[in-house]
Amino acid sequence: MRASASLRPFATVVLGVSVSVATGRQAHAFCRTSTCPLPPNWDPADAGACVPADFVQDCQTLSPPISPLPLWWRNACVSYDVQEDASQQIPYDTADAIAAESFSKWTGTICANGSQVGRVSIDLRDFGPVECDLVQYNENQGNQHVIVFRDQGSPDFDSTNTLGLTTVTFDEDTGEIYDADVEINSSKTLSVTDPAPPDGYDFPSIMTHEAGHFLGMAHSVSTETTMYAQYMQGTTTKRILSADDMAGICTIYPPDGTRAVDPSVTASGFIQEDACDPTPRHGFQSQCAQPQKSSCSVAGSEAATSSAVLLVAMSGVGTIGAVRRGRRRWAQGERSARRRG
Amino acid sequence: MERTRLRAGAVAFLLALGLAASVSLETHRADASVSIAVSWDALVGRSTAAAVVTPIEATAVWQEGRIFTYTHVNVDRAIAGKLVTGGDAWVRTLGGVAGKIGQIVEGEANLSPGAQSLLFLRDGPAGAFDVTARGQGQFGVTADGPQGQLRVVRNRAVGMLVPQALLSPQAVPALAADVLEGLTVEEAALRVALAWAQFHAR
Repeated sequence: MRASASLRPFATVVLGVSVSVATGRQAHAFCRTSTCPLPPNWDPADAGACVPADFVQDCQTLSPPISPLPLWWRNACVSYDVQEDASQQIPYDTADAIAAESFSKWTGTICANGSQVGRVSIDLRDFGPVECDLVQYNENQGNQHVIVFRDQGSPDFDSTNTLGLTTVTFDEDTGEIYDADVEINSSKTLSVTDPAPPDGYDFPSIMTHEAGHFLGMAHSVSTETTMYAQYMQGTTTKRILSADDMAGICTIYPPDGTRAVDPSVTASGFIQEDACDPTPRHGFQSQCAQPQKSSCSVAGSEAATSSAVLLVAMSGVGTIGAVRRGRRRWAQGERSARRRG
Repeated sequence: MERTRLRAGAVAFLLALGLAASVSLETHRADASVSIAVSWDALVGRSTAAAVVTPIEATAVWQEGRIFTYTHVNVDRAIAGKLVTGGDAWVRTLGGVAGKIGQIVEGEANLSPGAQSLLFLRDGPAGAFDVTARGQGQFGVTADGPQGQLRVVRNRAVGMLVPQALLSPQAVPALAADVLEGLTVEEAALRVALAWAQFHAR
């Protein structure tokens, strides 16, 4: 991303292996997720750059304008949870073990920058099985960073073509990540063996890639990386982080306990991490939150916005209630199907 | 007049949504996902409408802890299915910014105000449409060359893609992105109309 280019890159060595695999000055291919979406005509791998040259100006033309900021977790420790029902294809214990392994590849990376050598300054903590099977961020109740399987697909995304989906919630002013949830479409044939069967989608590969997104990594320019935006069915190569993937995680979470942020957030471009507390923002809870608030935002003409304000003030629960009930009914059906199975 | 009509459309849709609380003035959309490359047959067969549209405004909504963005679009040219040229529609995508909080869901269609796209749509909740195959169902429309000929280009920001299975190369279906990439809007419309007749024949 634009911001990452200006932040100090780290050389990396693989945990337990004393071989440096990147130097601090060489060009990198990793990209960081930004608060501003990539334009649809931009493919980092095709273009050889994370963002277009005019990305900052492009983002300023959005309504309202937005400053693209790279994403980052503030705390030294972040929790995750595998949803208790897991999948008919992949039972909880297997899913939990693979999730732990996937995250540990990122958090086990050893970084080297001159005399400073050490592990990345972020840890993932497994909070165990949770009941909630919805992707949620709640401002007034507890949260969980759930990894949930969709044996029946999902009403929220196109299940025919989607294999995995990470939803990252962030503070638009700073790029701080508040919450992240991962959905795995287990209506497709997932595999966990190595080698993977030719028709199998390798769950550890998908999970390692999604774990990168969970931590703030975006798609890489390099084809050889876990974060490259293409996966070949029947392969397992994305289970292994490349030197460039590791350089990326070392840049965001260097061993000194700082966070690489946009210079507009702090002049130095770094913020000190908070002491280890993996509790999600607003507390941890296993159950899904009861909805307390709906809000909307409108971009467009002031007239349309005024209409929206008026109508929002006048209207009640109506169709949104129906959408909510639909998601809940779908979730109950998914649970029933798993239990029958 | 047009503005009034659009405003009325926005009003009607928001009323239908029954939004229940505070309003702020931002919306974007965004970016992490793994998707299977969509075939041309599947994209056409699973859609209920295909049209060239221009986004006018967008509304980001919290629904049970998830942000959805509803984008109001002008239908510049209805190609097939439910929509009518000159009409309008609402398109739902995952992610967006509500208040000062944003959610990023990579691989969704990116509907920026004023940026024309050819969209493949399927029925979504509350009378809105979802983009079929998420970002893969969006083809940007760009002016090409001194003549300014309008061409369609695939969405290049669609998240991590899995190519169609290569077990039997002869059987690998044509990908939607390959079928339409670089065609003029006229050519694309013709291709869509022909395929539509095949897959949606009564």
